[in-house]
Amino acid sequence: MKKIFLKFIQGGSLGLLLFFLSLNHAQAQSFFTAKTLPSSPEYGTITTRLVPEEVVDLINKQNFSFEEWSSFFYIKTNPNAPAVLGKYSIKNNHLSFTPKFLPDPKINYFVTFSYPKLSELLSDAINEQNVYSDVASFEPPETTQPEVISFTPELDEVPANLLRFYVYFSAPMGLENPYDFITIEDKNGKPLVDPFVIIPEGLWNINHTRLTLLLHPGRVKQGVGPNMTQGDVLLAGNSYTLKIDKSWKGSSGEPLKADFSQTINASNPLRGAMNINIWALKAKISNGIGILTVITDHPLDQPLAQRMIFIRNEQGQVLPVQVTFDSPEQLKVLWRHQGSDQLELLIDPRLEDVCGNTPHYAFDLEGTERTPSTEELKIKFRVN
Amino acid sequence: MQRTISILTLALFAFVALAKDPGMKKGTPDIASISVLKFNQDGVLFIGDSKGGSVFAVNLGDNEPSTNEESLNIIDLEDKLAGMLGTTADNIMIHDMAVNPISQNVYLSVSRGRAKWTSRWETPNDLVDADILIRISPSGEMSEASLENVEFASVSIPNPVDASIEHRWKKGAKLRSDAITGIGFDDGKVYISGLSNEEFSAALWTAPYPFVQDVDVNTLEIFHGAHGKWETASPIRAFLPYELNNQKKILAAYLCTPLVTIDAEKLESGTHVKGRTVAEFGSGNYPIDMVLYQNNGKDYILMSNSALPLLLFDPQDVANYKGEITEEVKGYLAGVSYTPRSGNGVQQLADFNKKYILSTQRLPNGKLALTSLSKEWLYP
Repeated sequence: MKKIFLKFIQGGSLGLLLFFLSLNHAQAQSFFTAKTLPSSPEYGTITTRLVPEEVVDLINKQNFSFEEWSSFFYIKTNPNAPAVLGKYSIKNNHLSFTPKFLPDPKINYFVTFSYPKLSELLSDAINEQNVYSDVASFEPPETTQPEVISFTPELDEVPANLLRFYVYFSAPMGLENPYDFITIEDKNGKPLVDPFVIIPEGLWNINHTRLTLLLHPGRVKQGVGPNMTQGDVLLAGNSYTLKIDKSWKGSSGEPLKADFSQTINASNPLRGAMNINIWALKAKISNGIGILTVITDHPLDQPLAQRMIFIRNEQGQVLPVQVTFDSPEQLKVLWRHQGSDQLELLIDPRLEDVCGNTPHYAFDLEGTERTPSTEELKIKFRVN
Repeated sequence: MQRTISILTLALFAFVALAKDPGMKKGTPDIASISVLKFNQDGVLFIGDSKGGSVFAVNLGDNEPSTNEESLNIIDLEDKLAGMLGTTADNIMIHDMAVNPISQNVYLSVSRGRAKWTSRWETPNDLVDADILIRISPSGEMSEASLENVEFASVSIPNPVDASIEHRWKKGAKLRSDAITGIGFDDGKVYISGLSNEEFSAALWTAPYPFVQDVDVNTLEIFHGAHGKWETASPIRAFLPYELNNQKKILAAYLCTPLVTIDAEKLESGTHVKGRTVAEFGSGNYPIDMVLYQNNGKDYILMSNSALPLLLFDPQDVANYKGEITEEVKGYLAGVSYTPRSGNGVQQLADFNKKYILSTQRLPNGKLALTSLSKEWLYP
């Protein structure tokens, strides 16, 4: 894995950075939490998720200077900028950075925590090799009442073995237990029992504007304990309603503007690995921008796809891309086109469809070891 | 022999260390605005705080001698500062620049306030208070220079211009931003230019250093040839103490752009002093910095401006000039002449090392660069 990191770090472009992120972001939860609302007394502070206690003990024994701290935990206005000035602190095994100046709502901040860099400072005393990165943005002084702005996957019918929903909010949500405000009801208005994996504080992106609702995988996966005892969460042919209660408060303390409800029609399960060999690709150039339309064989998990799909040119450079979706099964990959018309679509092997199937593994295939494959997946294409 | 030199060198450094103000205390100076920066020859940083009405002498512990004779250039200075301050380059503003003559470390007082800029007459201190000090090493490494837990001493300037007084024609600006406009040193004295609350508000304070709370003040009056009148409300914008014909003078430049000599030997405390206007360098401009340097063993002065080119003049020409401008000057140029030098967009200036003067320069591509001007090429 380390060799893979080095290969891509050397490029130095945003695209490489994004690819780099993807290697560490198979999960939807960010490693960081940012205080994004001006009303927060800690506005601008970025905090890591829990760091192992033994690592925190090692850090505590050092008296790191700003330069040392910022060598492994840094915030930048762009990947080539110097680290943003500020102060570092440790509380309850979370590491925090508070910028010297209030954040600028106009710009994105690139946040990185590198265990290998930390290990260098600690004389290789830790083995952890992950590098976590994310992008944080901050709200301007005027904040509004939050509301649900979108819900994915956007499908008329979802496979009954769906693994995740994503709920997007217009402003950061608070740290209350999300599952106290979210229910799935059957067609008779009866709430389903334990449909979600309960994760304290929820699975959020760094800005607390996107919540991942993970349907209980033990109930989705056929033949395992919870599935045998509690049954499937969703049954094909049935309709459900996901409801979000408006009493749920955003980070500003303001509750949601309105209740939210979404009808979910369950169709036949989608069992089996994705087959990228039957994906249809069509590329064109418009005003110097390359546009690759990809029609997939499965509806993709969109946030994962936005981190795990790349373009590589003939010189081997991974190009910065923007991935947008027309539908879960049709996406567009945009890049600034220069040079050769012969390119490759790179797909991280851990990319999943909405049911957790990857190009190598079916989520539901009994006995399959789901060790992520490092085999490079690529599809060659030409722009016309 | 080499050992003897080393011992002598150590003794010299020990003296330099001891030469700092014995009245300094360790702590965090209560600086409200880092308005003006100036190092004395011992590497003590003087910070003029217009908002607080004080001057701080700070020992940053930056006393590693450097004999570097290389240039220093940072082509995207504002971008780098923006990264450090977590914003975009168009919001970065440099208020002043100074170089520690011992270490050659460069210091910038910086703010995030340029986005508020609306008029070519506004100075950085009119817009916002500089609130961070950035250090740049001779090799270009940038870091924050912390003002926490440092040795410092301070002196309050008596009767600085009141914080509530609006500028007469700069909309929204307070005169207090010009309470301190410059600092200079000569013979154990610290000269501080700015605006006072006196009837004639342009002022020059003189404080002995090490500081005692005994600061002399002189109000100033000059004839402004381009305006055709005597003026007392406009502060000195850039100045240097300098000896002309064996007499100690203050060479001072003002808005729109008269050059004036003030007799430093006759500055009696509390008196109103008239300067002698010896040049008019051009209108529609405010001077930013003046640097004294040598080329082929001869003194020259380089001056940067808001709207005129980088200009160079020979102080001997000032010494030789017998006249005084006391009548309106048509065409805005009169008296001692200057040589315009290439260096359009040069803003801050500071003597860097034996071979170079350091400048910040707005380049044609819009970026602000830290650039080195070779003294070898700076002659009339």
